[in-house]
Amino acid sequence: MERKEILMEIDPVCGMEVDPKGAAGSYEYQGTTYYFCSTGCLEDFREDPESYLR
Amino acid sequence: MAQPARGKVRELQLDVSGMTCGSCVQRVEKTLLKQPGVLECRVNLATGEATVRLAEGAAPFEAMRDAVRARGYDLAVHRDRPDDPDRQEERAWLRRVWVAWPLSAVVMVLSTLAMDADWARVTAFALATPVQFWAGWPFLLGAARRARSLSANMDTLIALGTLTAYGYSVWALFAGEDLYFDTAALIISFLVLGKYLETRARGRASEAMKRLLELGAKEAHVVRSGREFLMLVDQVKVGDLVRVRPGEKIPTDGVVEEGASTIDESMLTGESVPVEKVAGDQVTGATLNLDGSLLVRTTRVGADTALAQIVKLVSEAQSNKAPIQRLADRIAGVFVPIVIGIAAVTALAWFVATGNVGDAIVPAIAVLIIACPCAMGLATPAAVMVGTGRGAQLGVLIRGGEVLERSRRIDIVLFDKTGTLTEGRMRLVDVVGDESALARAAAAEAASEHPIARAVVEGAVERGAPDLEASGFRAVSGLGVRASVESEDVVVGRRSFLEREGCAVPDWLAQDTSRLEAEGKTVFLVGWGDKARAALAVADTLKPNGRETVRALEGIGVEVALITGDNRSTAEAIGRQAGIDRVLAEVLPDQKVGEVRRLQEEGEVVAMVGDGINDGPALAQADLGIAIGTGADVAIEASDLTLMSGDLQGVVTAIRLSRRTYRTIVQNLFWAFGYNVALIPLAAAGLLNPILAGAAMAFSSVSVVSNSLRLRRFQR
Repeated sequence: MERKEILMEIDPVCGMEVDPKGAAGSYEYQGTTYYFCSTGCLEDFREDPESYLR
Repeated sequence: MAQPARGKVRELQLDVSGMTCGSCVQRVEKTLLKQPGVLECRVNLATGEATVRLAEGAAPFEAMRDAVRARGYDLAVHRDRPDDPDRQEERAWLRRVWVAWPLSAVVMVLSTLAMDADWARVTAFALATPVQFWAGWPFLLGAARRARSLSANMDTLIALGTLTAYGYSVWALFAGEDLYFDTAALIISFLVLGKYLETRARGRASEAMKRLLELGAKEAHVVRSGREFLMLVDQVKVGDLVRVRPGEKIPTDGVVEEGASTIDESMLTGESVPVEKVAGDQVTGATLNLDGSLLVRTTRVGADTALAQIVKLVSEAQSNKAPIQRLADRIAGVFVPIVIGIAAVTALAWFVATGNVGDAIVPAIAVLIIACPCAMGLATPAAVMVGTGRGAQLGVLIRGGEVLERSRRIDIVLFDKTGTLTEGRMRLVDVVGDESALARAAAAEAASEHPIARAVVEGAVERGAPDLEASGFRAVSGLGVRASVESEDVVVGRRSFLEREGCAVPDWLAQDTSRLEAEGKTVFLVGWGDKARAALAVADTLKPNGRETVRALEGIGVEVALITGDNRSTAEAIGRQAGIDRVLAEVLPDQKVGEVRRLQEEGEVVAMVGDGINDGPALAQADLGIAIGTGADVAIEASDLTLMSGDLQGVVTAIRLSRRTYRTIVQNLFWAFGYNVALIPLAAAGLLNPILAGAAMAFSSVSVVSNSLRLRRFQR
């Protein structure tokens, strides 16, 4: 989703929009960096990345 | 992950904090379910409330809390929300009552029985002081504020009277003269009692806001990057795709992207017929999706949504309503300068007559003391209390005294249509054509939840149509149904549906259909064997005593009009049945309040009767907002008066009771002031003593109370 000023990322676990600069955390997987709204979502993703990337 | 239950099972309500997204909910649920003894766990994202079912010997609360904290959230035992400001005000006045009355009672006893004993006099002084300055503080403050703008109201009169009595008594304490501590203390006591009763009757105005905001959906299923996520509705952005399943509320305003369904929009438009929506149609947040699954592209969120607009309108209407200057205040405003004038003249006259300042001041002070009627603070609340109590017995819930004063003169009553004047439900009213059609249609519609289907089925039962079996039921969302009844393929639906399904519509039937539709009814055709055979018309019907109510209102000198968001022909049909000439149809919620305002600007005092959320702004704006008790909570909260049952006769009762109660308030004020004013000449002549002052207080209070009790005999 594009916005006028910032390019927002989507948290793959919960679907919320995350500003990369203010994200609770990020994680690189197979060459792509994902941003998360909370450490909870980051941990869930780390445990099983594939299940969130269908 | 449920475990079999053994032994006692208990349920625990918890508050979870720190959840921001749908995944948070799952995480908390999983964490709690992993705890030993937790059988079931449900967490609500929007409210943060969690309900867990625990088996015997389950993990203690602390363990659950620590586990939840480890994941970044927090857990607390569920606590109900704290009281709202109006309750606090009520309690503050009650505290003053509890302080003022016991102290005043003692002071009064001391004053009557032991006026010569020094200890009694000093005690009276000591006890009267907190009553005067702590319990009576709000009045003193009010008077001070008023003094700045050189105006007077009840507070001014109270401050004048009680401070004079108190101040004089302090001097008299040392000078060995009569004390008037009991006068001051009792006046204050009656007043705080009156204020307490008033705030108790008033109810909560801010509830309307809270209820309106609760109407919106709290959660939404948003589709992003091809996947569906559960999130809070305030996280939905314009342009997001939202999936709405049957039975769910539409979360935001938007346009249907995919899918078809019927929507219950009654909350917004008041229309009793569910509306069909297909791709390209607009939908509104907070309306209810009935039977199909929809994918909606969001167009407006938050403060821009239609619901938010209604909230804003109600809020504006409520805050724009200038509090009317209460009758008691207006009387006091005129009375105070007159009394001060009389006191000044008295002092002057005595000074001229005796040349002694002391002899001149005492009668003037006596005038000021006697001028403050102690029953004044009770005059309005007593009438309001008895009036509202009687109203409640008759099914009319009145919210506070201001309502009664504002509504004593009503020029016009606006009735909302659906659910107010009408039953709010569809009923079968006409069957035209083949007589067996009704039984067949009823059989075909038997399985449908649609309100119109229900109306057809009930209509068939009412008319004694035979019960037929149907099979092979097939519904095309919102357009019609098809079923096999007695081995005939029966089609029921709109004319376009029948034609599509191969049932030709003969001319006579088409004509009848148009005629019925012109009467404002919703018409369905029934067909089989390639031909449309009959037409069924359903309509919302007028409540049983609708016509009488209109006549009764016109009889007490009130004009009646109908205002609705529904279409013109339906509105006029109901108008004709009810005997209402003035019909305003196709009026949107913000236009409704505009109509009320327009009438008010023309100088009319407007009453509005409504039941739906869309009536909220108009009800709040009207001089007298009357809600139908069987309607939406929001309408009730935005109104001044609620009719407990849907019975329209209550409107007449309500207006008559309001007028009667207002008359009682005026009479009470007359009694309250009467005795005291009669004693002013005596005071000016220097003949006042505490016994006389006490007698005036007693008589006026008794008169006010007994006059108020007469209201109990008010008849419907």
